[in-house]
Amino acid sequence: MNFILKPTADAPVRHQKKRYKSIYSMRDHQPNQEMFQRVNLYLDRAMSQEDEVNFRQDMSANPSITEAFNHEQSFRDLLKNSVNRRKASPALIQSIKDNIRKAPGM
Amino acid sequence: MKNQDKIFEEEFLPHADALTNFAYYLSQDEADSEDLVQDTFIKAYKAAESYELGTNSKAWLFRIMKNTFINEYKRRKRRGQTVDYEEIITYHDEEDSPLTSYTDLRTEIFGSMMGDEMMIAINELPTDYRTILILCYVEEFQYEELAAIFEIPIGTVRSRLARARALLKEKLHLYATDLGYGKT
Repeated sequence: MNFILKPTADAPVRHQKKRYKSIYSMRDHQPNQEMFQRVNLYLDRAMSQEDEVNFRQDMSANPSITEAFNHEQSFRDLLKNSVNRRKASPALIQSIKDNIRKAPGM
Repeated sequence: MKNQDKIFEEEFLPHADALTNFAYYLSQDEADSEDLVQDTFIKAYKAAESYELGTNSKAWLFRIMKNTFINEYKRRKRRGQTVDYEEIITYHDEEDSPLTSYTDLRTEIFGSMMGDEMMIAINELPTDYRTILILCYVEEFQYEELAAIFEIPIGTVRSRLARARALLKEKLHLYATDLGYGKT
């Protein structure tokens, strides 16, 4: 007797709903790394126009990419806002100008 | 006004703040960073005649500063002087090794972190990782410009940035653990 079951037309389809895994639940997975690489290339403005369009389309269709994007953006915002940007003091600028006048061959 | 002075005033000086910032992240010392800014501007002024108007003066100046820093570091080391810079400076031309680890953090951690923790973590990074992060994310240089400044292929820019980000996140992960976000 053959016990191979074949799905019937009205059989419920398991996992029919497309599920996505959180970026945190896929740590160390290769696809996750690739997704972050794409997110970083996009944020670094290092993608071609065509790749950017594809990336935006993929992002709107896949919440895990949006999650990764928001995550990376938050990280960069924190980095940018944390850096104490130093400025050249007027004294330093004046000193540079003075040194240029004094430098040999000037 | 001499052509050299005009280029200096109009093309070079507007980048003084950005160069001062970069100098600090290279040397991590106030006095050394001011010397580095001075040396960079003097070298740039001397070479102003060879500078092509309309080209990327910012990237050109940053490259001069990076080379000045490395040469000064080597000079001090040859003289056997104790240097304030990191003992291990990892500037190299070869392709950076691929990422071996991957760390990520929960987004909400970023909200709870103070800028201090980020700054400490950035300052603990090796010089080449620290500086490429600052130039990419704060100064917003593009990969091509970073490749020109560091004199490395674009592939190395990409891998170095990835390693720098991973290292920084690993450090922040430790701080996050201390803050009570044990499991990510």
